[in-house]
Amino acid sequence: MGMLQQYGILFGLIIGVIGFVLSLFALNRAIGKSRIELAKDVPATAGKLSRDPVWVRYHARYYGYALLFLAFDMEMAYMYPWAVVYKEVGIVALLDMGVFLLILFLGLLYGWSQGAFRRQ
Amino acid sequence: MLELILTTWDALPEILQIVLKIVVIVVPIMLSVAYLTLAERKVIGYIQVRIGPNRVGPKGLLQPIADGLKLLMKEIIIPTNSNRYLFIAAPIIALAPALAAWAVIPFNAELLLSDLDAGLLYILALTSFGVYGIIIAGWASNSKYAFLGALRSAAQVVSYEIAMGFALVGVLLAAHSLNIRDIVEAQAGGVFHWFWLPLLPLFVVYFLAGVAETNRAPFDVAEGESEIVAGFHVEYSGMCFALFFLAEYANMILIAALTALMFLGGWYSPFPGLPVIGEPSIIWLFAKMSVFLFLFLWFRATFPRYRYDQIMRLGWKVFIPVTIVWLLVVAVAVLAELGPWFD
Repeated sequence: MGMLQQYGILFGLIIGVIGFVLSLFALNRAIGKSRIELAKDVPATAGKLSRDPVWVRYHARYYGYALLFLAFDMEMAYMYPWAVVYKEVGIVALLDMGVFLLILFLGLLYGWSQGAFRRQ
Repeated sequence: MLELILTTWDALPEILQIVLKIVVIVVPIMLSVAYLTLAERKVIGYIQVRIGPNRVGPKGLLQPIADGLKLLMKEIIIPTNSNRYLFIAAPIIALAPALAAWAVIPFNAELLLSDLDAGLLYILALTSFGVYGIIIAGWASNSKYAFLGALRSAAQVVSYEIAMGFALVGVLLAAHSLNIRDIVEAQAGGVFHWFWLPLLPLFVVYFLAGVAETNRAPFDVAEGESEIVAGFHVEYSGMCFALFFLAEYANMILIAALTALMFLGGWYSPFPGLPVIGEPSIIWLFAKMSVFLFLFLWFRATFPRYRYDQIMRLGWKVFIPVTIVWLLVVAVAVLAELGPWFD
């Protein structure tokens, strides 16, 4: 089978799952009963609508982590192709990635020493 | 008989073959998920000196069917002031990747749906995508607890994706391929040829990060039923709720399968050379998966929940440094062609 067909299967699987879920919803509509009751669709806040709006700006206390996450996630993306060809390229690959990793690791240690991982 | 099946199979149009293959993969997963929920209730029951479900069917064996039917009949309530399209879409976004990831999982050297060269990359992409379902669910509900669950889930992703990804880089270094079947075949041989031994820290980190990734106890902060009611799915009822459940358990089985494939030699027997039990077989893969699934349940019955800043601390101050250092060790060992693993 060609590569395109392999990806075709994956696409088909995702479409199939979505179709399966939608048919479950349809089945649910067909056999389930719906009662009309007062306030049944109020969110779980002790029976009353919440006083304050929920969709507000919220202080995410881990933004420091999020920034570090971006740096490391990008590095990880580079490491995947590197790891596959690593054995053929040999010692040069080790040194290249070693320097790259070292810089990031020092960055991690620096962030750590400056309290980036403290609870804010 | 087998001949007949094979010729009919070849005569089928290709699209039908693909559809059949998909059904053959998805239906057993659904059944395993159903019975994993029963196994969980039974195992945790016995750990807590109870019996667990035993009323529906012999020894409670029909309990998951009854649960499924109940959830199918229940009404899907959409809360007021929620974003209804996102609210309905979120469980689908959670479930679709959990099932689609199974396409590249090989069950033995022949039995797999799609032999993708970048199989591991595909898995990594899809398992990360499942988190969007949780975050969207929490946001779309427009409910305080759901919103807090979504935020916590984001915090968790930020701390575990990296450690998990780095652990996989170690596997790639050792197997030099992204194709999962090649990774398993690089581990051919007995129990000491498998990657768990040279990659031991990565193996532990990968499995624990997998537990965190699937929102299981002790990392179930996004759900946290005793603090934020049920977190991201507090507003969900009926089939929508069941879909989140399906996604979570399908992901658990997926993580168990991946750990078994990448670190414990997949379908290879631990005793090569012996008659019958020395043969590589799908049964070995299932046995290894069951061990990890049991660990999931055991963790849940044993450990109290982490606070979310403790999770982040564990992820950033323990897992990431350990994986980075061990990656360098593995890299040097691969160059030195160490032992039975890297030659």
